[in-house]
Amino acid sequence: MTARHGVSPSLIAITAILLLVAVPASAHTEEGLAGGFISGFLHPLLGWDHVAAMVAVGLWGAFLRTPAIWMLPIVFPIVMAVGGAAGVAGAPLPAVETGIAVSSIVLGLLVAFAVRAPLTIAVVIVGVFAIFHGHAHGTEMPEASSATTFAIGFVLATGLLHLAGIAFGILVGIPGGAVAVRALGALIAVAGLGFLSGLL
Amino acid sequence: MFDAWTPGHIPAEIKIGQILAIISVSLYLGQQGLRAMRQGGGVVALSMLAGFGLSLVPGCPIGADTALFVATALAGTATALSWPRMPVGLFLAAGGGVALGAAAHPFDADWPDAVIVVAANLLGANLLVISIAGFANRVQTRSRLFWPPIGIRVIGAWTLAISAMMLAFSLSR
Repeated sequence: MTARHGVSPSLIAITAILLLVAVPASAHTEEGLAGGFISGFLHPLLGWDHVAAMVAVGLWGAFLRTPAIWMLPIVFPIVMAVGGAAGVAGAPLPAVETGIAVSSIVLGLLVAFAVRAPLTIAVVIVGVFAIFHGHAHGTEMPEASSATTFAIGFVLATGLLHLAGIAFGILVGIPGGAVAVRALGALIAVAGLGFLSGLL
Repeated sequence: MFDAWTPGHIPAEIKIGQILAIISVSLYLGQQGLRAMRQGGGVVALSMLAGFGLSLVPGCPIGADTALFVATALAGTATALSWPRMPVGLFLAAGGGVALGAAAHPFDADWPDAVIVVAANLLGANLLVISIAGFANRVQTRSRLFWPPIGIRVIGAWTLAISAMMLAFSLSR
């Protein structure tokens, strides 16, 4: 994919998207699409319980280093989709909010105590909590104005929160950085207690 | 008379589903190298034509959105796992192409308009497949950093998550 004859690959991609996308004329539908994306994007960002857990996943991944640093952010959305599909389908999952709060506590403590769990264990822990987060998103989804853009929005936001956690977690590589990362983990765990008790 | 940009004939939600499917299948093809890209691009084009044809058959049981989400989810899974298998890539390219073609049927358009929409979709989809697969392949083979190929896998996981949710949503309606 080199730029031959002065045509860049990105120009081809943009042209292709323009050819492929036929946007409906109805303003109502456009609002619906935008509204779906915005509400989906904001859903993880405006819920502090989601934010805390997502950032903690990134932090813990950074602590565990490769391959966990990239495997956890891959595993989380995959398993979250399973929980989300269950939520969309109306399958009951007990104590969803409790599970989300506990995810902040557990993941925060794992970061705070710098627990270097084996990769398999880390994947299982993150995967179990991802089901609760996905179920909460999925339950909200049918009420969104556009289900597709809602899903795109919340998956993107979740990924960006992981990235934020990883970016902060990379501080463990500099002097004093590990203390800051572990302190943030402790803060997340305390916040999780607040979510669980209803104080936050 | 309208052209490919004239709105209203294919639901926007389906369009977004199409783009997700193209991204997902293209990333997987790109992960596998130039041979898979070339063959996969051709397979997508041919199978899109088959999908257009199938969508014209009265009572055809293909649920275009469901097929799109299944193809996207499978390709997203394979991309996230970074599991390069040429037959799997071609199978997904074929499945994705049929779903893309079936989903691009302009149901309420007259036939001259429909031909334009079909041609534009075929051209646009294949240009996008070539572009994205080429980008993924370049990242996979030429990047000296460790994280760009991982980024491809992460995007694969995201497309899987979105399509799995949408699949559940379309089946539960």
